Amino acid sequence: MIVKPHHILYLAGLTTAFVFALSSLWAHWLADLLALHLAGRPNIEMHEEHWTFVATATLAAVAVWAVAGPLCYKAMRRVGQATQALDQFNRTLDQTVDCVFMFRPDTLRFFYVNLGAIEQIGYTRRQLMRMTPVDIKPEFNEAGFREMIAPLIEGSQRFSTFETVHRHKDGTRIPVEILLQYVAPPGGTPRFVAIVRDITLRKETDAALQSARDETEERNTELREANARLKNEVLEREQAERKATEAGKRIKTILHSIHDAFFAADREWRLTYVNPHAEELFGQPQEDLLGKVLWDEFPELAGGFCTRLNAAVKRSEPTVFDEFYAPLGRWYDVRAFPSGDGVTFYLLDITERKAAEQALVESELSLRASHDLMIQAIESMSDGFTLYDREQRLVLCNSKFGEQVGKKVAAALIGKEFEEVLRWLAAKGLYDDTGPSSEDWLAKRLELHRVHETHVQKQSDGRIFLIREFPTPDGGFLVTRTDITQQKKAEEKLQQSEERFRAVVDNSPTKIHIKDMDGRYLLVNPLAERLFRVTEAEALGKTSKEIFGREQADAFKAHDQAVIDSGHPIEQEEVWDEHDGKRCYLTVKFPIFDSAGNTTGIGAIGTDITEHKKIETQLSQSRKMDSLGSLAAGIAHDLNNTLTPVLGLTELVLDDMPAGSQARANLEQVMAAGEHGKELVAQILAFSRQHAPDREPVDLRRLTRESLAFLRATLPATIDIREDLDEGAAYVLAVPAQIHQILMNLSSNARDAMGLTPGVLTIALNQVDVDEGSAALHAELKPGPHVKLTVCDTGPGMDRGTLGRIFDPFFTTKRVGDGTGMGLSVVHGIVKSHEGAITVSSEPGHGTTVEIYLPLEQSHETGLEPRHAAE
Amino acid sequence: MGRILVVDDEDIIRFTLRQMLEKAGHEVFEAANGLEALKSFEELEVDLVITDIIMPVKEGIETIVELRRRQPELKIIAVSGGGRTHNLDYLQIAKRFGADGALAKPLDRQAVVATVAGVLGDAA
Repeated sequence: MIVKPHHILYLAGLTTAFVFALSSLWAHWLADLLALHLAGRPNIEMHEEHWTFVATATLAAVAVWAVAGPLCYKAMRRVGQATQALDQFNRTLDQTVDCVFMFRPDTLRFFYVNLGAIEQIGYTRRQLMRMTPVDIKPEFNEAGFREMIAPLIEGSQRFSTFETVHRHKDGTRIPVEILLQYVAPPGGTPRFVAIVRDITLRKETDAALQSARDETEERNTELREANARLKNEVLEREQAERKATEAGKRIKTILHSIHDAFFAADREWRLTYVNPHAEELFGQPQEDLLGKVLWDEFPELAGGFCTRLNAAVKRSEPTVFDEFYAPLGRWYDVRAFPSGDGVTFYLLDITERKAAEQALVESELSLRASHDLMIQAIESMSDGFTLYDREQRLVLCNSKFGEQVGKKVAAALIGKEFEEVLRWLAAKGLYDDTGPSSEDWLAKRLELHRVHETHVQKQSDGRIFLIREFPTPDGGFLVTRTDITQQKKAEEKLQQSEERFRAVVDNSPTKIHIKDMDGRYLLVNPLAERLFRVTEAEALGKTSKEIFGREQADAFKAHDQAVIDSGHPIEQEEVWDEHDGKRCYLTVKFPIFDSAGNTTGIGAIGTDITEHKKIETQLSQSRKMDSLGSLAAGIAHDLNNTLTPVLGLTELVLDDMPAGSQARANLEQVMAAGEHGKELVAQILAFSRQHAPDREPVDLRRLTRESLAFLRATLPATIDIREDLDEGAAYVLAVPAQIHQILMNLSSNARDAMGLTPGVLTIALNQVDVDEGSAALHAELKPGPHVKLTVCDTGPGMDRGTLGRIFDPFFTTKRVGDGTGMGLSVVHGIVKSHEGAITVSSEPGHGTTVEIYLPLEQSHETGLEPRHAAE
Repeated sequence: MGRILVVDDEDIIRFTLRQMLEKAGHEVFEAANGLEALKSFEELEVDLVITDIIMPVKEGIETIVELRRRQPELKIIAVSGGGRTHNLDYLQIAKRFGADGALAKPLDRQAVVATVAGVLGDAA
């Protein structure tokens, strides 16, 4: 171990400490205190005060050595360690490039400087130990310096960094940068530690830089702006590149996924990329194709395809052309993009497009032909034709339109809007119905145009046009103007004809109706309405079944079908109920044909033949009675001839017969039978007689009363005889006996009809005027005043069959032997021979009424001489 | 008594009239139709002709007209049983054309005798 002076010093100190310390702790504390004190004075040079201190300490240490020896030793070893550390610290600081100054805060005097500080300032360490920082800092005075360090002492600032200037011993100024820190260790002496760095070179560099900065300030500004722009461009380019990169990825993905062929070749035409569709196109997988020379692999492309590509590559320009690839029989849109790396190809299969183009070409040709055809068609139209575009402007019109409105006008209208066209034509006086205000007319016309409503337009020249508008798909519309003048006239004529037809139909006394082929009513005239009991409106469109029910409809349908099948009119009689009873109609059903001869419906005209039927019945009856009369006359003639010898010769024989003989009795029976036969013949002759002989004016009322008196005496009391004799004129030309016979015969029939059942026999007499219609019903009856004799009973009446035969000779409903059947026949003959008429009406259960009409003898009534029947 | 020509196409009628008239005392001649009557009545010089109306060959009305034309004073009685087809009053018609009397069939003896007597009596 090397003993150094401070070791001794330390030992002395320890000894001193032992002396002054009464306890080991106290001595220990002193030792530390001493060591620290010494640490602040690391200089190995001994000073006077050091020596003093050492001597005192040694003396004290000797005194306490015995007591505190072990503790001192321990303390001394620690001091030694501290001193060694201090020494290492000093050497370290001396080797630093920076200058280190330490000075006291109170005196500001340096108490430590390192070797660097000494070299910087130029003073010796000793000289410096007597100096303050103010001495070497020409920019500071003491007050200013203290003011600067005050915050550090106060603790409000831990350290301070600043630049200033140190003055070298030779007077040069050294720019320095100082880090000043205030250190106040607990229990230790506070001090300032300044680390100073020579910044002369930095200052010079800064100055040069500043100069350079000053020179390039403006340029820098421009550069900054340019930089900013450049930066933006760079950013944009980066973004673009990024996008391009992303796009590239996407493109690659797309190229793989697209349905078009895409492939690339290098400058030697070796394939470098083939997408899946190109694989399909070439018929080989990518791995087989890559690296292969295009023309070697596909020699069929070496023709025009190769030539065009080579030309494109030479020009370094993209080329596009259509190529037909024979092996696949398909067309491709070839797009080649030459580059430094070679050529990329994009082949779009345009076979469909080519076909479509071909079709389009053909279509265009066809369209052009169609257009020409359309123009020809429009020109050949008999209608005026105008076409307006979506802006409502007239773009096309045909020659017919020009003829209708005037060729010059039509030409001038091209390009004009629709409303303007209307105004123009209205102003030209084309329209007849514009009235006093063309604006009102225009408003109405535009309203029609708004809904494209078809309408009729009358022109001032009398022509009538049907205006039709049709919207076109492009938003425009077309207008056709059809000259319907003739059609309108025809319609008017047709309308008039229809009105006349309707008037005839509606006023016809016949029942008229028309049905279609489905049996639905198309027309029902008023009489048919009355018979059908429906209005025409109700009947139209309905079938017979819907109106009349199945049973009647089936009958009608059968008739209709018969008409359709035969194609000819068919007559039928129909009975319809009317308010005045049943009416009989003769209906003619006939087929209705169209111009082609096809049956389109069935017409029916029904005529009321009720009266005709009555007349016919009467006529038939009259003819029958005439026939019977003729027959009866013949019979009577022959009978009379027969009876003449029977009666005459028997009577002659009777003259020779003795009275009371059987032969006479027998002959008398023969005579009686003959007489009976004679009476019968007389009745037959009365029935068949056409003219009553020896008629004379007689008062029918008086004759009737005389007959009534006789009847009251002969008819049974069960019959109530009532007379209703009008007081009016009742003279007729008649044979009184025959009138009496009439009353007797009719009363006798009434009596036999009523039998013993109580009943009423009414005999009435009144004057009536027979009109033409009534007269027509009876061949014997003539229009004019008549006396009507009515005989009415309350008997059981007769059915229609019986009623039809009552005038037949020898027809009787009575038992054999009760009647001859000639009673009513005789009455009929008498009435007829009196130029009168007889009617019988009867219904079972409602009695029988006989009415006899005899011409009123007016001459007698007026005082004239009665006309003799024979005249 | 008179000379009477009976004209009728029916034999039995002529026979019956003959019986009636002869019993009444008249002389009777017969003709079957008007033509026979016109041929014989002048030769027979009859006073009265009783003729039927409806006869074949020549009917009664025509016969009466011809008889009246040829011998205006001749008495004529028309006889009729009624028309064969129409019941005309032939007797009335016959009277208009010149018959002096009329008899309706069937003939009644009393009526025949009375009518003949009446007609001949007028003539007498």
